[in-house]
Amino acid sequence: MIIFLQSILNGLLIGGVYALVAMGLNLMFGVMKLVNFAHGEFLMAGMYVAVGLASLGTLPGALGIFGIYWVALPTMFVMAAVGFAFYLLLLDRAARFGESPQILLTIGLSIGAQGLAQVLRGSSFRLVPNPINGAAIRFGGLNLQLGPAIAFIVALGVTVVMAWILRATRFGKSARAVAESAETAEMLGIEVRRVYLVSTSIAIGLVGLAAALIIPYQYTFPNVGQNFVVVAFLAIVIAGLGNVVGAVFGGLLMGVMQSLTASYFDLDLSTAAIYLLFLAVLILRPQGLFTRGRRTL
Amino acid sequence: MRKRGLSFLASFWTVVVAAVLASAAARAADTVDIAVIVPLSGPNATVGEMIVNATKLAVEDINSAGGIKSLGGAKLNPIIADATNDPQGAVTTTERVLSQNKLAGAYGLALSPLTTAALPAFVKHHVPVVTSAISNTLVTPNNGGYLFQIAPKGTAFGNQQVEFLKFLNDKYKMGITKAAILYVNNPYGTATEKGIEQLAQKAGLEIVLNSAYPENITDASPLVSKIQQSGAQVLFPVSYITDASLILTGLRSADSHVLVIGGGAGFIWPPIGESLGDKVNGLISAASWNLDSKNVKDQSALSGVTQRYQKAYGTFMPEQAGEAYAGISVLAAAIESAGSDDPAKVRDALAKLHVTGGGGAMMQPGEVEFDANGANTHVVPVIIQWQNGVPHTVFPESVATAEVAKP
Repeated sequence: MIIFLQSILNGLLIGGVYALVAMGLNLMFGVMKLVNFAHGEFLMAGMYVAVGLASLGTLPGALGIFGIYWVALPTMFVMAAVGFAFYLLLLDRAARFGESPQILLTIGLSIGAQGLAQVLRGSSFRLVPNPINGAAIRFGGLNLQLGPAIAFIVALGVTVVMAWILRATRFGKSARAVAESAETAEMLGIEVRRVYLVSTSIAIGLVGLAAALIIPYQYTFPNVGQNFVVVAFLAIVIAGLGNVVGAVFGGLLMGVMQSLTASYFDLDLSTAAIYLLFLAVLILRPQGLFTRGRRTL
Repeated sequence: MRKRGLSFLASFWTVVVAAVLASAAARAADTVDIAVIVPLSGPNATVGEMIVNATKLAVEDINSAGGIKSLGGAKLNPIIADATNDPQGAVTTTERVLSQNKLAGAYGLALSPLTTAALPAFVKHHVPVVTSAISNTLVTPNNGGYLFQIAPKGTAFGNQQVEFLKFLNDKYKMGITKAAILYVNNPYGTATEKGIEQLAQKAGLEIVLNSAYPENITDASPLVSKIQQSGAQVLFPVSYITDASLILTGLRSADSHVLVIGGGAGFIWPPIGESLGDKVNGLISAASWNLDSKNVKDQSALSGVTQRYQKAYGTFMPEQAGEAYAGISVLAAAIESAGSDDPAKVRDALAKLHVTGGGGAMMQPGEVEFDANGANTHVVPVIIQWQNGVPHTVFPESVATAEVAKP
C-alpha cells in the first residue's frame, strides 16, 4: 500500500510541473488556435532568468530555507513581459499572413532560442546550490520532496485563480467568447487582438512561474524545455485542446501514469505508457478526457 | 591583335594558376589538417565544449613544441565541426567534413551512438578516427580498421566498479552483498550495464534490481522507490548529468543510505560538484580518466596542462577533456611516425604506435597501444571519489593518488 501511495504522490508532484507548463500552452491554443512549439524554450528562458536572479542571493530571514523562491514572482512578470513583446513583435505580424506562418514562426523560434541560449550562456548545466534540493518531509512511511511539493501546491493555486479569471473577469469572458468564435466576438465589440495579447502574456508568465519553481532542483541548460514540453503537449491533447483547467488534470494524469508504470511494470516503459494513453484517447475520445462536447476554455 | 590578346590572357591565367598551386603547396607543407567532430549543439553540447577546450590546449602544445617535425615542422590545424546530438546529423557532418578537406586523421564523436553512425563514413574516406566513445561494439573486426578507441571499453567500467566494491568490502568490512544496477537506455548505458552485471554475479553479489530507464527524465522518484524496494546495499547507476543529480538528491531526500558507485559521465563532471556543493564530497564513480591519476600527477608537464585548463576555462579538467588531450596527442604522434599526412599511412602508424610519453601519456596508466580491433590495450578505468569539491583518483592502486574515505 505504501508503494502505491508513494507512486501516486510522486506522480502528482511531477504532474504539478507538467500542469503549469500545459496550462499556458492550452490557453494559447484555446484562445488563439495556436500551437506554440516554442513553449519549451520559454520555459528554458524563464529558468535562465530565475537562475540569474537566484545567483544574486536569497532573501534572508522570513523565507528561511525557502529563500530561493523570491525569484518566482519577478520571473513570472519578466516572462509575462517577454510574452507581451512576443505577441506584439512577432505573432501579431505573422497573423496577418494566416495560421501557418505563426506555427512556422514558433518552430523557428524554438530552434533559434536553443542556439541563442547556447551562444549566450554556453552549454553547461546550471543549478544554484540551495537547501530545497534534496529536502523532504517524511510521514507515515511516505516521502514528500519539498521542491516538487511546492511546485504542485502552486500549480493547484494557479488553477483556481485561472478558473476564476476565465469565469468571473471581463477578460475571461472575452477570452471565452474569442475562443468560441473570434469573428463573432469582434462583431460584438470585443478587441480580439487585445485578448490575444493578454492571453500570450499570461501563458508565457505561467511558464515563467513554472521555471522559477523548478530551478531549485532541476538543471538549467539550453535544451531543458524539451524534457517538459513534450509531456505537456500530450497532457493538453489528453485533457482536451483548449481546455485550460483540464490541462492541469492532464498534467497530473501524465505524472501519475509515469510513476505507476515505473513502480509496477518497468522504469523504461514509463514514457511509452503515456504515449499509449495518448493514442488511446485520440482513438476513443478525440475531444479529450476532460472536455464535454465542443472545445471550451 | 586578337592573337596578342589571347596570348596575354593565357599568360595571365598561367601565372594565376601557378600562384594558386604554389600557395596551396606552401600551405600543405605548413599545416596538417585534422578533424575534430563532436556534439556542439543539443543536450550533449557540453561534452563537445570540453573536447574543443582540450583540443586547443593540445594543439597549442604540439605546435609550440615544433609541430610535426617529420613534416618539416608543419603545424597541426584542427577543423572543428558540430556532430549535433543526432546520429543522422553526425553522419551528415562527418561526410561533409571528410569530403571537403584533406585530412590526416580525426578525433571525435565522443558519444557511442554518434560514433557508431558515423564510422562507415571514416571507413569510406579512409580517414582514421581516435575516439573516446566507450561502446564495446566499436572495437570489433567489423569496424573497418579505421577506429581507435583511446578510452576504456564500456564493460571495463563495470569490472572496475565491482573490483572497487570488493576492495571497499575488504578494507572497511562493509558486508555488501545486494546490488542494484540502473542505466540510461542507450548504447553507453547498455554497454556499461553488461559489464557490471556479469562481474557482479562473478563476485558473488546478488543483483536485486537491474533496470534501464528512458533518457531525459525529469523526475527520479520512481527510480529511488525501486531502489528502496529492492533492498539493495549498493547502487551502480550509469547516468548523464541531469539524471545523476536527480537520483542523488532523490536518494538523499528519501534518507537512503545505499552506497552509490557511479558509472562515470554525470557523476564526475564539474556541474554535479557545483550544484551539490559540500554534499558532493564522498561520492564515488568510475571514470575514463581523472586529472590526478598517478601518470598525470607525477609528470609536471601533464599536471601543468590540467592547471592551464582550470585557469583558462574556470573548472577542473574533466574526463572528456583529458581523453581529448591524450587523443589529439596520440593522433599527432601517429602523423609524426608516418612522416606523412596521408590518412592511410596515419592509420597504419596508429595501428603500430606505442606511446609512452608526451601528451598521449595523459591517458592512464601513461601508455597507449591499440590492438587489432583498435582497442587501447593498456587503459583501465579509474575510480574517483569527490573530496573537497574535486574528484580524486582512489582506485586502482596502480594509478591512485588519494586514500578513499569511508563512504
